[in-house]
Amino acid sequence: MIQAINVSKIFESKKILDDISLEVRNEFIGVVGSTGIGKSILLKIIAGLIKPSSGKVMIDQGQTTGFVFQHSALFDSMSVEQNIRLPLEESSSFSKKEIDAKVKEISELLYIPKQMLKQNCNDLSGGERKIVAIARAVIYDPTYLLYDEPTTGLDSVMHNKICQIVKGLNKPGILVTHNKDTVKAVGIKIVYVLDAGKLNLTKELYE
Amino acid sequence: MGIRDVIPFLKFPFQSLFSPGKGAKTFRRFIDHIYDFGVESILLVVIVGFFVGLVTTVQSAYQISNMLPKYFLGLTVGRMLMIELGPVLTAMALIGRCVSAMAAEIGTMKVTEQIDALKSIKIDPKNYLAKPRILAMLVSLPLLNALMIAVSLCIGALYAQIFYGTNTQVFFYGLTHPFYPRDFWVSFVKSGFFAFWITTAGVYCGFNVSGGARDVGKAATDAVVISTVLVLVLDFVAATLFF
Repeated sequence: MIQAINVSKIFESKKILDDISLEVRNEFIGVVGSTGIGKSILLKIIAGLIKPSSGKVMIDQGQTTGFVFQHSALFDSMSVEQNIRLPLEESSSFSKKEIDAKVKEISELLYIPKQMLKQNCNDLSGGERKIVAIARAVIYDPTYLLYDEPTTGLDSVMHNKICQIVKGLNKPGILVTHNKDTVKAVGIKIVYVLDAGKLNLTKELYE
Repeated sequence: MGIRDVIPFLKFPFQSLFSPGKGAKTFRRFIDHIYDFGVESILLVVIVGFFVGLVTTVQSAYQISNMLPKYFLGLTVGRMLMIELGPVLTAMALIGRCVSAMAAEIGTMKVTEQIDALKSIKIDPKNYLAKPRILAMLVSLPLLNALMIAVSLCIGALYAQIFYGTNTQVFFYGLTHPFYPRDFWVSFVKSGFFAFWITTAGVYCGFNVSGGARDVGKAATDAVVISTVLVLVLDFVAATLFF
């Protein structure tokens, strides 16, 4: 279980997040809100990438998170395959054979063609980069997936493809976005709205 | 970088060296960086060494002309190169070639969230980015220092023979009479210290970038300025400690 307890974040004396509490057990939840409202900051605090000004985040022992960054954050000096392999290669518990098999499995699951694996990340389109970022996040089979604006800047075809992939992965976690259509397309049922630093459960998306 | 950074800066290399990570992978990156910092700097160091050897010989010949025996030329040039010019100028050459580049590379990774991405896949960025660079420079810089001294001395001896009629044997006799082993090892100890701190400056400045392209450029400039000043400060400290 992920538990955010009374999390607040202050940036340059401005309160971005105000006493937010959130719990994720086995569900996939959405957080929507306008641009610049603090959604990414909330997600990064949950992932442990940013420290909260107050409050704490707890993740059950043995559980892990995978993070899909808004701008993909791929390692641009590496090929697609090297990006996907990296999390497993840096872990001491996988042999080369196991990593090869896992890369093959994930590539097929996410419709990554073989020839793309050899390409440098800089040569990919925005949508392809997102898919590789998802592959890198899921390859070590984290308990929860955290998506930061996974469909921003994509055309409708790629938007639908990414949503289909996210839905197909069927992993619990959190998806933050400003685009309510994304939340609907990936089939999220529990949606929160982040506004003025507060997080409120909403039902209006499906009404 | 400001005054608040002094303590974190001093802690940074030790946190990096003791950061957890897979040893074999760190070793592979260490070898890659040896190639980047060491092998690819050879030409630069040879060129610098060539001209330093010439200038040092000309200046030394001018200083001792008609006052001291010819073998003093080898003594003066050798001592200057060994304890001062070799370590300092090799460090300066690598600051220009490697330190600014590592600050820019790591800074770009920071602003494009690649460092956050490393953390998100449970890789310690200090172990992944800082540790192999620091260790690689610790090996590369002293070896390049030795190369620079060797090149400078050979060119100096050749120049002295052609233009001042100082026999090469006389030149090298002066180099080793008297020979103090301390001069030799101090040269390498200084190189090691320079390597440690200039790499720390480059990596630290990269890790602490926030913003965009302009800030990455500023980090590269900061890294060069800080490491240059550090070399001069450490050089003074070494001079007072060892001589």
